[in-house]
Amino acid sequence: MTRFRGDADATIHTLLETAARRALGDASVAAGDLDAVHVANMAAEAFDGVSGLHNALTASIGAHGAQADRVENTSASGASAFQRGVQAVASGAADSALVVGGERMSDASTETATGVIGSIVHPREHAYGVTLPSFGGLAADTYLRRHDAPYEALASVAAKNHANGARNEYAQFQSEISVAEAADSPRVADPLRLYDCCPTTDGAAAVLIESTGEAESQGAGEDESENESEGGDSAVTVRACESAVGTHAVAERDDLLHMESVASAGEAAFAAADRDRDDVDVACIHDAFTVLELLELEELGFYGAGEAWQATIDGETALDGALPVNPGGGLKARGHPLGATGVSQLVELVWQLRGDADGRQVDCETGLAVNVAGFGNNAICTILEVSA
Amino acid sequence: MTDGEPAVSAGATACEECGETWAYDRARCRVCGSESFRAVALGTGELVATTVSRVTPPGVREPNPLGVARFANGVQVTAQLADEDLTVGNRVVLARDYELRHGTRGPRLESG
Repeated sequence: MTRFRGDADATIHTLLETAARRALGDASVAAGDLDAVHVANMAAEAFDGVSGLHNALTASIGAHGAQADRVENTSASGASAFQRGVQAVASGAADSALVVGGERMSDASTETATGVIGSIVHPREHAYGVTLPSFGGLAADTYLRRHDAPYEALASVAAKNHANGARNEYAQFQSEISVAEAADSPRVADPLRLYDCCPTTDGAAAVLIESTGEAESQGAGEDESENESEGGDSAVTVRACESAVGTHAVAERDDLLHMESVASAGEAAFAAADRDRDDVDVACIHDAFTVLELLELEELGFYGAGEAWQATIDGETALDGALPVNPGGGLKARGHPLGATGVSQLVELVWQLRGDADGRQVDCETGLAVNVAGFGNNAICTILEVSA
Repeated sequence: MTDGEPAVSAGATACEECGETWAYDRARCRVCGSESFRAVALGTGELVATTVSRVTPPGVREPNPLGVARFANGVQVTAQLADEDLTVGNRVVLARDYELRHGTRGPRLESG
């Protein structure tokens, strides 16, 4: 992947190509041998004034003859492209698939970026000027009120993820913040403050999915070796990659704290992987807003309703905790280049599972990632593993 | 939608077949699939969550107080608050005609 930055000195094409070449180099695969290239990107037309990213990338890396397409699933485009690649390899349609996610958001004005991202909400909510941070504010208001939790419940997520980002040379923010600093930052959508919200980011990430040649004997067939960028030579296995949609309009959920898409994708992934919560050693959670990390940990069944915030304050989700969450800094500190995010979560898991996460390594054999579109419109849950 | 209607309705819709009720436009009932509806009033509801959005899109007021209100039959809507002082637990109605964002008019949640 590329270093995530607030303002990268590179075009979207260059970011994608850089990440792609690093992944191919890491896996020692020649671009000409690729069968499929799946590019994740949400809004290059609006942010960069370009389209057809997948064809440009596939040609520039020299993957002549490969099938190529672009996958758009808003902020979960990355994991959706990965799911497409996994399905291509599992079905036998491809022996090797390159998945590259990228977004370059910094050229757009704040107004344009807010307008583009705001356009994904339900038309009725759009009429009211509801933004994604607004949903974060409504959910956070509900969470703190229902569980009688202090604002520090949210800020402790931000402080933890910044501490992890400070150990990740690819992160946009590599500095620690205190809970007090978060609590003093400007208000964005009450009770959320600036440090409760992910930034806008430029960056790209890539992984390579290869068949183990065992797909036919694996039933559902979700068992591929997967290598990706940067160092190490041990393959990581895809145990599961499952997705599910939820309601489009947030108000049409019976409970504002219920993220049906996350719960459904998680259940499906645990079932497909034949694994349970206790098997997961490390997790990358879609913390676009601090409250989402708490909600998703609870929806996935790692904690009961209203329990994740105290666990976070108690350090259970820190690097040295029982379940390290977002060891790379999460969306909060690593950054959130929309189309790249889901792939960057998987890159972090691969580094962790290989033992290559210098400075932030946790003890792990099984890792889980969840990438969420919109405010729970869609979610993809992936479980990766290395042999003990 | 025909010309002259507000972009955002202040009412709800009930299915003639099964009674399912909803606030946001649908082509068919999500429970029974019927396309036979009737308009019903939302009535008075309760505010269940609030926020004040302080960074807003082009053409939207800033700050933008927002809330989610729950009405009879479990119908919920997200809408702008007419008054920032409205708090969770307050009785509210979706009423009157405001400019919600540039070029779009409709009702806000007001004290009921």
